[in-house]
Amino acid sequence: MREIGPDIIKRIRAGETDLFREIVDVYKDRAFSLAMKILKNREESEDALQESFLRLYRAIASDSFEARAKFSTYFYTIVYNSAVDSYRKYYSGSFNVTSIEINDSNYRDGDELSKSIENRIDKNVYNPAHGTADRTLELNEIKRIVRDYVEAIPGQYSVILNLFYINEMSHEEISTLLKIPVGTVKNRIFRAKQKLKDLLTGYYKEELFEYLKN
Amino acid sequence: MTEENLNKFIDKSFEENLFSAVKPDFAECVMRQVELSKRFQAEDKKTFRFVNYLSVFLALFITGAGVFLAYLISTSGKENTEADYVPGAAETIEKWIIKFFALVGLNLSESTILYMLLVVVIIVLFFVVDRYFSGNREITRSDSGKI
Repeated sequence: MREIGPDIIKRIRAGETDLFREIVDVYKDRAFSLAMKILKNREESEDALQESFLRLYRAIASDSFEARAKFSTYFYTIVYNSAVDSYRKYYSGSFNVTSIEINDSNYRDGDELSKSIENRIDKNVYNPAHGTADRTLELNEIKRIVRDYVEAIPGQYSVILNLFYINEMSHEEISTLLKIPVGTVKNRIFRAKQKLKDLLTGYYKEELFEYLKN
Repeated sequence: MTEENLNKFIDKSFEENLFSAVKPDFAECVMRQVELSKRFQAEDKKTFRFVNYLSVFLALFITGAGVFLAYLISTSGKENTEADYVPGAAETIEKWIIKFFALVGLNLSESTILYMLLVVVIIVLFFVVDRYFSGNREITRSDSGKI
């Protein structure tokens, strides 16, 4: 991803507002993905993102923006805070990336991933025994499992995954932004990957390894 | 090797499935909002400058009035007591005001002052409403279209 340099900031500050479009084009989709993980609603996410871009523009125009951190980290912090504010406004509750609500007394770390996906996946649909020899269909099924899994991941995981995979932030940067230990960040990413691996190899092990060989 | 491929497949799957794209006209809407914001910032600067000028004018007026009073006191006879200066100054100021209003075709009476006060109140109200109620329009969606 392209990083915005100080020269563009200087020129926007000097009045070349059109250059701000470059920033919007570079970050709009990646920042939107982050807002979506928190708000889970297109319109609310676009509103939060629009507000974030305006905050960024005002910060640049009023000289309050200082390039102390990486530009992308600075902007994603604005987006995260705007989305969390919107979440509070729309849902009258606070978005907490650290706590995971599990009422089960036998809870083990990471169980929430299994619960969310098991509720969603219809085992009969994904049962390879019902399948066909058609490779394309099998691959589509694998892709469908992945899609369903990613959609079902709780916000406490998906925000971190988004910051890591889409916003390309390091474990340390994510830890600073979310104010959680680096270990928690690494653990959540590892668990989310491991669960998907288990899920795929559980349903389509042979087919998947066959596909990966090619 | 297959384990490595599987890890790569998982990473790629996350990248593809976590990604969401905004509507195609999103950037245009943001730029319209930015333009509006820029315009409002310019207006705010203008208002700030106006308030500054007004403050300077008031400060000068008060200083001027003080100097004028001091002049009146100094030109009055030395035998005058402090109690005599105030009505004297008030009389002079009244005379000047009456002269000024006569010059612009106004006869100063109670009702004239009442009308003038009413006009001042209306102007102040207009500015207050304009500043605080229509000033928030930059963040409403109606101006730039819903995104």
